[in-house]
Amino acid sequence: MSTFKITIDGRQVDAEPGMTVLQAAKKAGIFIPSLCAHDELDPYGACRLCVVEIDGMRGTPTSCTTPAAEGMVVRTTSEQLETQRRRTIELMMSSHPSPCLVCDSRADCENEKKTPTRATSATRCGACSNRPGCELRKIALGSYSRDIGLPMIYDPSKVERDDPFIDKDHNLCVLCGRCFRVCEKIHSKPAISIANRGKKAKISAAFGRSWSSEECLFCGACIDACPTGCLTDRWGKWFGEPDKTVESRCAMCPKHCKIMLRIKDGKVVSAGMAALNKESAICPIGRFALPQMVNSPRRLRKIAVRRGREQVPVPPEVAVERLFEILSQNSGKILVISNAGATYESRKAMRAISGVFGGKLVEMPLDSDASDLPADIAADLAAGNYSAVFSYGDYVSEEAAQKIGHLAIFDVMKTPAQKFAEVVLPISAFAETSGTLAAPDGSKMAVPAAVASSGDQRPLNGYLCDLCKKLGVDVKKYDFDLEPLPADFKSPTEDKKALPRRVLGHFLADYVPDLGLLGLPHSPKWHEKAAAKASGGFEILENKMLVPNFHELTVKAPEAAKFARPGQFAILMANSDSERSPFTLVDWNAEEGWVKFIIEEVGRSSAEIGALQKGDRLAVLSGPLGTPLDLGRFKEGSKALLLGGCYGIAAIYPIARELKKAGVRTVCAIEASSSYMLYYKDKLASVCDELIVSTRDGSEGRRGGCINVMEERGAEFDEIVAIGCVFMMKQCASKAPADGRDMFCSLNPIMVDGTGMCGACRVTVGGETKFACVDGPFFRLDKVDFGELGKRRSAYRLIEIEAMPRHLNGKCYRG
Amino acid sequence: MSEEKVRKIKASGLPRMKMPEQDPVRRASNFEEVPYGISLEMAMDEASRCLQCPKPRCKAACPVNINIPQFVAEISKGDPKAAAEKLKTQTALPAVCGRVCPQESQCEGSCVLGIRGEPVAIGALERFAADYVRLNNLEKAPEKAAPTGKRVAIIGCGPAGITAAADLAIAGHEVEIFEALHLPGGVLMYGIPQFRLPKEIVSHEVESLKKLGVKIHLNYIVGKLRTLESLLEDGFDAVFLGSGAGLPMFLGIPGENSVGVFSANEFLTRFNLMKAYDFPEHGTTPIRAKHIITVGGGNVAMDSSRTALRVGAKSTIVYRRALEQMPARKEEIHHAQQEGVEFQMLTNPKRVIAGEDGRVVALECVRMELGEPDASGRRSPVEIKGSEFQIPCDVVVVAIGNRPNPLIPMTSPNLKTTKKGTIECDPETLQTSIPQVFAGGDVVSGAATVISAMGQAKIAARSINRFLRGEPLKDAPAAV
Repeated sequence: MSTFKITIDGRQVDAEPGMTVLQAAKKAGIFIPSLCAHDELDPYGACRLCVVEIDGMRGTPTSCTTPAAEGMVVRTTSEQLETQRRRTIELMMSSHPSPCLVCDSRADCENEKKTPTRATSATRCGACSNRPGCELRKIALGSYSRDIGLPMIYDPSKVERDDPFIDKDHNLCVLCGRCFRVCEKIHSKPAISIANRGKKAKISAAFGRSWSSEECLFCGACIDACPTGCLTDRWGKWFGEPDKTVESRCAMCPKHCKIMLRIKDGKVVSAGMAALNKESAICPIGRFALPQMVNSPRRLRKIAVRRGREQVPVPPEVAVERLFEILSQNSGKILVISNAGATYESRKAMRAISGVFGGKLVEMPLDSDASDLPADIAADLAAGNYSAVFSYGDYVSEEAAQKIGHLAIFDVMKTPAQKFAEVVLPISAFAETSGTLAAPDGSKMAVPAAVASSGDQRPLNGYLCDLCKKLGVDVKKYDFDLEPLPADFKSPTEDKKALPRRVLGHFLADYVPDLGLLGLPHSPKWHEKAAAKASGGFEILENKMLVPNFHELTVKAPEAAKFARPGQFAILMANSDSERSPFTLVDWNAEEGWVKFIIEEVGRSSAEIGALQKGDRLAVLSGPLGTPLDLGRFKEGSKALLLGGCYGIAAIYPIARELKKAGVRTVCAIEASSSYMLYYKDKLASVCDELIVSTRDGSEGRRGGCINVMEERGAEFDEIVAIGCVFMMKQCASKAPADGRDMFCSLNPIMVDGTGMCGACRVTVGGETKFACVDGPFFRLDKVDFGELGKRRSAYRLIEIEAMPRHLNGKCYRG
Repeated sequence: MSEEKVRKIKASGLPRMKMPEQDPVRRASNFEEVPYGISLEMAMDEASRCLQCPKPRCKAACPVNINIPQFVAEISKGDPKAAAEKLKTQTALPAVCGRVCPQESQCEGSCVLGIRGEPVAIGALERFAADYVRLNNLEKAPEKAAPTGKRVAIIGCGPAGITAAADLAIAGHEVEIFEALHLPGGVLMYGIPQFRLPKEIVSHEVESLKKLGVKIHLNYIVGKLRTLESLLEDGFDAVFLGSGAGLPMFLGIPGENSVGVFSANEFLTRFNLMKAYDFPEHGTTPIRAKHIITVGGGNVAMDSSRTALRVGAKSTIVYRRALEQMPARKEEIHHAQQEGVEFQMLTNPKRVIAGEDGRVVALECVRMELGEPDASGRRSPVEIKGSEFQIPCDVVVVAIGNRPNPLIPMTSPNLKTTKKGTIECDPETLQTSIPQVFAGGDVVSGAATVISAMGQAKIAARSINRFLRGEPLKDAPAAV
């Protein structure tokens, strides 16, 4: 193919026939902003960011749809192009939650909060799981986004979590069309497309039905194609950008699709396709179930060998020694349950060990469970006719297990039958095992391990090799031909009904509950562990979402309502197995016996509480706690400034209310990222003399935050109180009048008991250690070590991610 | 007792029984109880070793004065039910005490048999009797006196509160407990780990308390909701204050607020009360570490260091005195050693070193040597100059003791406290500066043992009984 030259921004670059101008520029390393264009999709020309000027062509064609032609002269920047792009971005941003992108404090704030807040709705980059990978953000931060002249549109109802695996936050959608284009490319008949027009336009299945009821096969290609955080993998999205991507083969069914495993901190956090095309399609088992299975909290981790009435942990060689003894002593009465899903090496070794001792060998299909055992073997097992059984996977029932003299179980998961086994061996999961699998034509295919195992886990073949060596078996004698994929094999990538239901005797839906929504069965024994609801507890009278991720929770708690005072908090637990977390009391009524909290979703515990509905019960409400703000120091006629951000907007309300009663001239200043995150404006206005509203994006009130109010007007006030996130209070402290006047902040560190018993909430104030729960929550704003507080608050930043995937429809569910 | 008799017993050939225990390797990775318990036969054999001394030294050494020979005799007769009933009249928590009491310095420590040989395994027998009736459903609720119409509020549902509540309910008063946490049991629930005291036992004891008609208000923080005084105004005739020693002490060394430094209270609460080892099934985040250093030498330090092993970390104890001076129960030290906890004796932490992200990377310590005896009679440790060294670690657990939680005194101006923050009370009656308020347990004595708290609670309960009947609180002086 002959290349030719075109000129871009004065540079001669090579282009090939069939290339678009955008592709030619990209190849030459010339950056043209673009969103809807994707290397693996046909040109579409929707976003209009890649506009260029080309000599001899009218207007500003989109470079992604314009074929490069010999001798073309292209300019990628000009005043007009910049204006046009800025307009385009501005339009996108008016319906994409973008306050972080235009916030003057963005860099400092993101440095303070290294990972985004794990909220349900991505109301800004700081609450978006895709912050690290967002293409729109990368372009916008390039200098196009400083000022937004258009009103901000945000629709809280555009967050959809009712489909399995995929979270949809249509507020983030820029209608680039990548998702339905990739869907059409892979599945010919796309399951999704753009519904409606104008500002109501959104990606949708036909008639707005749920995706699972439609053609959607949940291959997840749309997630990979999405340039923003609109479509995300609910389970894996908070782990952040992977450290690396490893090509592997999915071993969850005999098709062994090529699969890209994304690895973060040595964990498989998600899986993707090798390329966005029909041939590379994967099914939801490979994409979603595999990472969840590998990371399941129910993985078997410890090698155990029975000693007397106990199973004790032992090193692998001791376990192998015991396997050896069992085999040698039970020759002729041995059953080996192997699995066709194991690696070729393991299957061969299983054949060898049963062969040497005249054992019975049964090789179960990968998608099988105990009920699929051949009838004769099942009957013999039930009758206790084998004196020794080696089982790879969960094929021996608890009842049968108790009748077997010597049971050795190799498994990836914990099962109830294992407690009756003589030897229990934790096996590495698929992504953790290297070995040979069958290609569709029956040829051998080497698959590398993508991650290391944890605990005592070893690949099945590791144990078996050692055992065969001990036995002196020549494994080579047991070579066999791998089976090609049967001609009538139905691929789960093409038909949801063909999805494998089980693996190694385990029902996948028991471990990956979303699969239940796709119609996959649970094991007969499985019963959904209902969230441990407290029978006692405190009744929820109302749960109102004021703004996205912020719930105003009204709880019946007559005793707390009677004693609550401004500035105090309570420890709440949604369920009896939840965490104890502190929340500020924002309102109460002693006569009616209720208290109110603002629950800001920042992780699992707050999401659990936020999901409680009227009539539900909150397991624990322990409070009021903390020392109330000393209102006595606010003198009648003095001037007080109350600064509030996030939950602090509500937290200053009861203080303002009391100050008004005391005749203090009170100014309330509140800040939010954008207009759609402002709440309690009327409530606050009714109890203060002046209300100053700031938004970080300038969409309402002043542009900026409480820091600006502090800087400009702080000196006017006799008393100042700031309540909000650590960053907001730290900012306020940095601009506070430095004349030693009274200024307070209310701290909200990690707590456990909240009564001074544990010291988790230690903070350094003026060089001294204080307990925020009893000495606080109020401390002098100018004396707090906010740097330390920020670090202590994020102590569990990474561990907490593991608790996040446990939400479906905002409700906590058990896997 | 004559030496002759002791010799005779020895000749009878029965050695002190050995409690069967979980394999140390296995148990270091689980939270199940370490000792398995014993059979009736073993218990009877052991009980028959008791000499039934006419003036039992064991009884005198027991903080709650349990008539030990009496219940032991019932076991030797093969009647654990009768033994348990005898026990129950004198202690509210035999299943707990049998497990956590420092018997070697109390009953067993003063057993006559121990002079020349091995004392009777009193703790194991107490535990056996209590477990036997619980597991076989043979318990019967103690008889309650006729209702007195008097109301008593108990603050804190720990060992002291439970004991006082039981005694006062049996005496016929209407008893209500106010507990700050979301589960009853106090330190038995949040502090002492599952592998030493299964939580089912605590729950069971609390259930028996409820059967006595005691009402328990959970999540109720006296001082923040109603105060001591308002409880009295609201119709309670007396209050027992057993709020414990729930304010952890820290070392006061640089870097102590780094991420990864915990009080033993927090470390244990996360795993015991909040079950963080079952994360993410339970929402409380676990503490994950490669090397956990516990600072201290008491039972709490042993509990922390053994919990550290169970969450998969290497575990080291750093203690400024020598092994012999450790205040922990011998059994706990032995168990910790067996399980693989490393002991760095005569070592004192100087500074916590953290990385840029604020997380602990090492503990800098200094070697100590023993100097002159101090006020406690123990030789006090003295720093060896220039012997500083660093131990790489990612978590430091500070287990150097607790002070009483100031929450209640802070909100009860009339309640007098000592300089140490403990409640000032009459040593004989445990009456506080507020006449209707009596106190007992760690809130009076500072951090001590479960059994000493129970002992005080019994005294306070007796005083409350007298107070409510209008009798003099103190025994009349003995006639000369």
